Order: sequence, then C-alpha cells, then structure tokens
Amino acid sequence: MEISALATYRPSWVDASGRRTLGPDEDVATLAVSAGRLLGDRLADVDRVVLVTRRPDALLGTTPEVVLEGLGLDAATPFVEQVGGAPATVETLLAANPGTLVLAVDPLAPAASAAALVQAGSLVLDRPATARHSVPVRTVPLTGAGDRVYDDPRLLREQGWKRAAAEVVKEGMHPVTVAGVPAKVAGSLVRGALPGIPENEAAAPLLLIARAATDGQDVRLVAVENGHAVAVDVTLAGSVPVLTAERATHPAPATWEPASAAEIPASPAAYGRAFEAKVGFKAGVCSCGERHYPPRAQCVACGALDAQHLVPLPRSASVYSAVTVRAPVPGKTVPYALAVVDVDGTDVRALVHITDDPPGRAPIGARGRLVLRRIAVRAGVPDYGYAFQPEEQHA
Amino acid sequence: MRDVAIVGAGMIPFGELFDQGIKDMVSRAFGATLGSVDKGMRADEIEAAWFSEVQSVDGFPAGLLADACGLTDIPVTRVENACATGNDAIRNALYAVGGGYVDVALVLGADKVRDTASSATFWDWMSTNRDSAWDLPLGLISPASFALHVARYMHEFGATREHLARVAVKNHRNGARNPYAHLRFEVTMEQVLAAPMVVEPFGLLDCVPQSDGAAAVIIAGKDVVDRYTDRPVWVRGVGTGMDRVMHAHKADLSYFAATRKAAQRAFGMAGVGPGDIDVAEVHDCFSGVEMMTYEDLGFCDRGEAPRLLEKEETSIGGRIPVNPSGGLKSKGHPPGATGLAQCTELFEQLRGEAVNQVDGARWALAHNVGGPTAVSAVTILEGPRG
Repeated sequence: MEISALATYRPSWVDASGRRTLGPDEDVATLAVSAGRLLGDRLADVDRVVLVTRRPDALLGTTPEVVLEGLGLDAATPFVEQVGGAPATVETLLAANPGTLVLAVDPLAPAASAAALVQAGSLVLDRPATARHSVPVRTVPLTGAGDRVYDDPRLLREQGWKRAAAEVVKEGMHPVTVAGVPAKVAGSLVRGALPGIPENEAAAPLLLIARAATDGQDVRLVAVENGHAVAVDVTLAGSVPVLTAERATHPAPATWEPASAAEIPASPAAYGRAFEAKVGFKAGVCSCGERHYPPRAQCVACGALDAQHLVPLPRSASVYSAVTVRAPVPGKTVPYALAVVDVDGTDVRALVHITDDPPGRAPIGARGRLVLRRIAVRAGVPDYGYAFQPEEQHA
Repeated sequence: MRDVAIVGAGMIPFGELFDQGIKDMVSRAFGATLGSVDKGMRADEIEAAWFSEVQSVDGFPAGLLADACGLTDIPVTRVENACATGNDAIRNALYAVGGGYVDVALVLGADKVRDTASSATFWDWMSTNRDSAWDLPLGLISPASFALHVARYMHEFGATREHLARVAVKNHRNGARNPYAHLRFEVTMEQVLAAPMVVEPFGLLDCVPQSDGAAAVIIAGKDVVDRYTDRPVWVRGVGTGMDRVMHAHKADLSYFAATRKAAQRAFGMAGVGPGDIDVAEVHDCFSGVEMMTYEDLGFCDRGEAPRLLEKEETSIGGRIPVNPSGGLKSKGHPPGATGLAQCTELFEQLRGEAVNQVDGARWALAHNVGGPTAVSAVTILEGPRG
C-alpha cells in the first residue's frame, strides 16, 4: 500500500496549556478541508474519501457534503465517515485502494488534521500487525459530553498501550514511532522509540508518517488506543511531498461562547440554494462573461436570465474595508472582524469574516487567502462559508 | 402637479416608552399633529393616510393606524422602506395630494422597538434587512453595515474618530434642549472617545439609542391650504434613491450612492441646490454617517466633510446647521417615525418656532438612509415666507 502525497494542518490558536486548539469557526469538516486542500491539483485523482475521527461533528449532518464541496470534489464521490482513533487511521490506510483520500481529524486540543493520498508513490506501508484487548479506561460518550476516564493511568499504560504495542512492534530494522499516546509517553512505551508528538488521536499516525517522510527516516509506526494497537512499517523509496499549513499561534480566550445566547434564524432551504457557490467559493458566470458572487438569476451586465454557470473563484484577496464588532451580539462570538475583500484578478468582492488572527489586525489593503470556515451555527445547524485569512506578517 | 404644503406636524417625546403601546403612541402623535394646525382640523377632513412603520408590532399596521386614530372610513396604506420609510412615506402621500386625488392626507410614522427581548430584537430587525443565506449569519449588524462605509471614508480622506465625535457632541448639545429628545444630555469629546466600542470606529456615543416614538405631518393641496393655515411649509422636492443591497456589490463604500440619487431627484424637483439649504435634518444613525452625508447632499466638496466639522459650519450659527433637533443621535431613532420627526422639526424651523431656531431659515432638507445602506429618501421644504 503506497502513499503519493501528504498534508498536515494545525489551527492558529493555543489554549492555556499551550496546545493547538480550534478557532471559533472551525470544526471537523473545516479541519478536514484545511488539510485536504493543501494537496491542490493532486485532488483530481481522488475517487473516494475516508474521514477518520474519534469525534465527528454530528452523527448525521452536513460533514460529507461540506468536505467534498470544500475540496472541489464531485458531490457523488463515495465518502466514508470512519469513527476511530490512531489505530483506525492506520487500518483505513491499509484497506484503502489507490485513488482514496484519507483525512484524519483531531478536533480537541491538541488539535490537528492531516491528509494522505493513497496512490502509487514513494512511501510504502507494509508488514502490518494488530493486537486488541479490552481495556476501556477511556470511553467517549455519544452525546458530546466530556470523556469518561477510569482513574488508573498505570492500568491504561501497562495493560493497554504497552502490552498491545509490544505485541505489534516485531523485530525489524526501523526505529519505532508511537502514535495515539501523549508525547511524554510515546518515547518510553517501546524501548528506543522516537520522541512523540502532542496529537494523540486519529491525526497522529498521519502526522508521524509526514514527519518520517520529511526526515527521510523509515520507521515502524505503532498506533495505539486503550488496548488496541496496529503497527506497520513505513518505508521511503524516494521523496514524498509533504504540504504543511501552520501559522504563528495566538492565545485563545477561555471560551468562544457568545456573551449571550440567541438563536440566529435559519433557512435550510435558502442555505441549500446557496450551498455550492457558498461552500465551493464559486461565482455565477454569465454567458456574456460577467461574474456574480453570489450567483443570481439575472445578469447585472447584459440582463440575461438564467444564463450563468458556476466557476470557482481565486482564493487570494485584499481588504477593501474592514471593521471589528465588539458589541455583545447575541449568539455570536465577539469580537469578530468583518471585511469586504477584493478577490484577486476579478471584479468580485465578498463580505466575509476575518479569521485566524485576533480581530483588528488586518487593515485596509491587507492581503490574504479565503478559507472554508463554519460561519455560524443557526438553530443547531452549522453554516459554512469563506473567511479571509490574512497573510502572516514576518518581522 | 399642484403645490403641496405641510399644514400640521407633531410628535410625542421619543424614548423607551415602556408605558405606551404602539396604538397609544400613534393616537397621541395624531392628536398632537391635528392640534398643531393653526386654524384647526377635524379628523374627518383627512381623506387618506400613509403609515410609516418598519417593524410590525401588535398586528396589521394599516388597520392599527386606522383604528387607533378613528380613521376607518378612509384608505390607509402602510409604507416600509427600511430607515428611509418616513421621508419615503411623505413622497407617496405627496403624489396623491399633488396629483389631485386627495386634498388632505396624513403621514404618520411610528415604531415600537422596546417591546421585545433585546436579543430577539436584534435578530428580528436584522432579518428584515439581510440576505438569509449570505449576509445574515455573518452578523452584519447595523453599526457594522455603516462602519464599513465610514472606515473606508476615513482611510481615503484622513478623517479621524475626533471628527466623528464632533458630530455626537454637536447633536447632543442640540438635543439636550429638545423636550422631545430621547437622550437629553450633552456629551464631551473625551466622553465620546472613551465610550465602550460597539463596532470600530463607533463607540457607544457614536450610535443612536433604541427608541420608541411616533410623529406625523398633515399635507394639503394648494387649493385648500388656506383653510388650515396662513403659514404653510411647502414640500418642494421629494426623492428616493436605491443602491445594491449587498456591501460587496456597492461600487464605492466611501459614499452613499442611494443618498446621492435621492438628493439629485429632490433638488431637481425643487429647482434649488445644496447651497440654498438653510437648515437640514440628516440621518445620523451613526456619527460618521452624518459626516459623509454632507458630501453626498452637496453641502461641501468631496473629502471636505471633516473640515466642515472642524469649522463648526454645521453647528447652529454656522453656514449650514445640521440636526438642530439633536438628530437621531440625541432625539432617538424609532425608524418609522424618524423621517416624520425630522419634518416636524423643520416645520417648526421654517415657521420660526423651533427650540434651537436657525435664524431666517427659508429652505430645509430632511434625509434618511437605511436598510443595508441601500435606500435613501430626501424631502426639501420651503418656509411660508417664500
């Protein structure tokens, strides 16, 4: 089983413990897109998508449609939502046929996402091994409530992680790298293992494979969770592209909760009509060439009715005007910044949130990119669209 | 079209009127307006009425006005055109009276903002004005909608928050003496600049309060004006202008295209220009909007609005006093009532009866801009000495 390209994304915010954490406008769907889109033109080869996460946004909702549209893939592309942690990601990779895009997302701090394109390439996974024991020390309730943790860290470590890992390490020439456990445990779970990473759920194996590819270091990857372990050899036959998006971090506030609760009125019918243009960032282009964002029935230039088709817009833009809302708007996380941006190479402007920086830092003229974000949650339903991510200012 | 004059104008004090329902407010504003007619008028002399109300409360708007004012025997129509509703309702009534279909018409404006929970008010009002799929979820609240314009203007012309604060200081100074004003206190430049931020560059004191209120005018055709007054205030020009509704589609945020179009039509109809105006009531929902509007109405050249404020030319005693009533900023802004209250102030100004009288005022202008800055209405009045 081979991988031709990898991508990794970490959000721009850190919590009080210094761990990467989601912005107020991110969730599993946007994280999946943030990593997946880094693969760029390679996505043309994708004919199936598997999204692995231990913590889906919802058991039924909008995730597959948003991720496919956000990646610019055909809405008919088969899409599997796989619930699982680190071992599940490795199992998913091993079972994937060429043309499969594997997305792995960890929405809780330490948050990250990663993508792997399963296709003939220079990175080979083989010699798999699996061990499974019942060690239900950590359980994750369906309701989204906090995890239930049986208070015996040594039981988890010795009877769970360590025993399962030992059974799958096998003798071999590759150094061991462990996914699915805290960084400080990863290096000591197996003798001689490489240092760990903060992420410890579904994204961790892909982040470690990406690290191996970047370092040119063959490894024996051991992914563990409770009493379950899956291991595989990661061997590099040549260089593999690893695309990475990580911005300078900002401290996240203690909570993103709105100052006061309020239900923002929703119309799923209206959202449905807007969906492809709004989530795919596409303009309605008239037969006369005029671009409309959002698309509309009548062309503003030639007056033609129903003569538009949707075309993706460029994702780079600059700020035409921007303001920061500081009043405690019910149902909104404040402060938030709004901008009208000029989309590069077009006469299209868009009204968007500014994201991934504390509000007020992107003045008129600032340059940046448009990225998929969860704009609001209305009557419990997430509403996705594009936000302006300012270019980082390098001192 | 025949000439049309305002023969009566009145309002109730604006404020958080928790002790009055909209029907009470409407009845009282109607009573005040009838009572202002110099030679008296009976309710049954009114032949048609227009009700300027932005957000419906307590039921069917036109019927509510007819019922509350004892006008169930005449046609009543509700007009809704966002924050420009008031002056646009006057335009609608003017066409009927000027066209000779009606001799005497009532235009009454009211809105009851403070009858719902603050959080509900917020989204209820925003939903009337925003595209549900595209703009509403972004939280483009009203101050942000105007701030996107003002921020761009400040960027292009070097205006500062101090210039905006001058508008607030001036209008509060006027409003403090207006017994009908909601916020009857003066503010200092320091207080305005130090107030909590709402949407940059607007602090709390750059913004209108949430007010309840009602105001009205009675207009009459030239043939019948003499029955009611010897000091009519003539409606010489009306104009309503539109713009694209989404901010991303407006050609240039450093001005209000709707205002320019409305003003051009009103001036064209009146046969006068901005230089003829002696006093104006301008839509200062946010301080910077008044500043920018000086240019869109032609009171000064492009980019010169900050200079007008520095030289206090729009203060009472200046070249072109703006908002002697206190404006929306101090008097308050019940949207449907706002344009009518502006014309009530100007009715008094042109008859020499205003609290903050502009000496010798002959020509006056009232201006609204609203919705997602996509509609404006302008009314031009001439006093009885003309």
